[in-house]
Amino acid sequence: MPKQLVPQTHDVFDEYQKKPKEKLEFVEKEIDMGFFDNHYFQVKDGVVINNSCQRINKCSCNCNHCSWGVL
Amino acid sequence: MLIENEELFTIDYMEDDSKIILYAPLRSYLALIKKDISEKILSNYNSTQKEKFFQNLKSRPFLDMQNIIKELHQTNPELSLSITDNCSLRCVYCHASAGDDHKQKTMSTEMIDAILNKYFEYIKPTKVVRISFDGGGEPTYNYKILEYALEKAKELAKRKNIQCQFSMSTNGFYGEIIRKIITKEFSHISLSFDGPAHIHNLHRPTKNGQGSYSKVFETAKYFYKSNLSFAFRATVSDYSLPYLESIIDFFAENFPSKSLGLEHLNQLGRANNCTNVLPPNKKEFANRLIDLIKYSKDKPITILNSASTEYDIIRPVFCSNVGIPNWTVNIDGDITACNRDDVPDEFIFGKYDFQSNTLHFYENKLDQLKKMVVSNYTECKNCFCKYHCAGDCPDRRLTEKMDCDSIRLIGLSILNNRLNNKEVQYAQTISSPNTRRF
Repeated sequence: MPKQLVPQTHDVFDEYQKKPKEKLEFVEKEIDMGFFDNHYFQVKDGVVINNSCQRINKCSCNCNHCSWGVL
Repeated sequence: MLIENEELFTIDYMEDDSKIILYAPLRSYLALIKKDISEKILSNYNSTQKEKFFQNLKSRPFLDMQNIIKELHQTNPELSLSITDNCSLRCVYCHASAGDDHKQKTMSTEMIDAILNKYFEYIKPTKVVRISFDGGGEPTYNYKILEYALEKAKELAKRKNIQCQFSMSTNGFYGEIIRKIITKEFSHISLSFDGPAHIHNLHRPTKNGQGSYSKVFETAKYFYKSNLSFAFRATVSDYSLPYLESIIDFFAENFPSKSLGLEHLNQLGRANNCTNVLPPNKKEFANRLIDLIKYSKDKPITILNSASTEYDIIRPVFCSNVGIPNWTVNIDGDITACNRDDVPDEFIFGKYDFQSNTLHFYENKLDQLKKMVVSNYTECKNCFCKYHCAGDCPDRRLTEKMDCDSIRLIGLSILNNRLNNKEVQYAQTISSPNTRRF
């Protein structure tokens, strides 16, 4: 069975979250983008979730693939 | 850019030009900072701020893109079959010119057998395989052949204790027999539906030039009542661009809770000879999309565009088609990693031999495909979008149809809004990965 392609940082990020952090006074605002908890090319039951074409603002060929992204 | 061995990008902060956004995608980090401080951080000279900033950044976990690539290469390919290039409609902008005199072929049962036999022989043990029917023609045009392919795939899968998930892009122009087959067999459907009758009929007439709206609307209602997992895809032309709000209202009123993908028309295939419907201005389309997200905020419809779906994830390669690579077998027997039309030779990594009824693969082409990752694109080196668009569609790269300006424009808006905690439906929607893609 192919391995799950979930990010390899889950545990590491949990550990990181628990650690005390120094606030950087010269940084006005910080955002965690959530990439550690999200999935890219995640495999579920042996198939990639984010499959097929992932065009970005280019879909113009009307081939319909971009619509997969809305399901 | 690479500083202190970290990829760090600067992005304009639109609300205050004395500040700037620093973005480190591989550390999942976005920060707002005064410009004078950022200059210190980005300079070659040491300073306390620089030292503290990078210490903080390096303490965050690191997302290893090479690891994702490596694991993608170990995943089973998905199979896409272009079983026909014929079609029951004559959409004025059809990228594939489906149904034209030179586009009226359908795969034989022998060809389907050979492809499916080889595919199921090739794949590693798994629970599920995904098989799609695409390619420009309408897969239901010869529905007996479609049924044959579905049954054959299920039979071969059953022998290996695998479940098939079928998906398809379809025009919806058919009656109850085909609607029933679809709701019974398919897991996911993308239904091409351009909106209210005056738009849909202009865009998507039948072979005889009649409107297709009524039948497609009935199909959509049938799918909706059947609880089939399907989404709408509407192509936007210069004609329909001014009606985007009414298109959204139309789908929200008739099909609440469904998703609508809005994508702009491009001048390909039959659209090359079409004069009454043209592509909309791409930048105007991108700006209108941003407005539409606000417009649809309280409506029971999810509006997405392929530009909107990539800012919650980062990726080293544009798509799994190239990342794995997947198999697309077209009507002429080419085995390609991509099911876009007229893909360049770089994507063709095998061939179905009509004489011997066998499939052949070119390993060197597969190796080349696996190199199409963003880390190999030197022009993307210093772009903040590099791990979002991943260098864009490799096919578009090869055919020089990239549109980096639009990508950056939308990226700039999304990342600014994210920092300002503004409600951005793009971000809200995409934060639920299980509903975003199947």
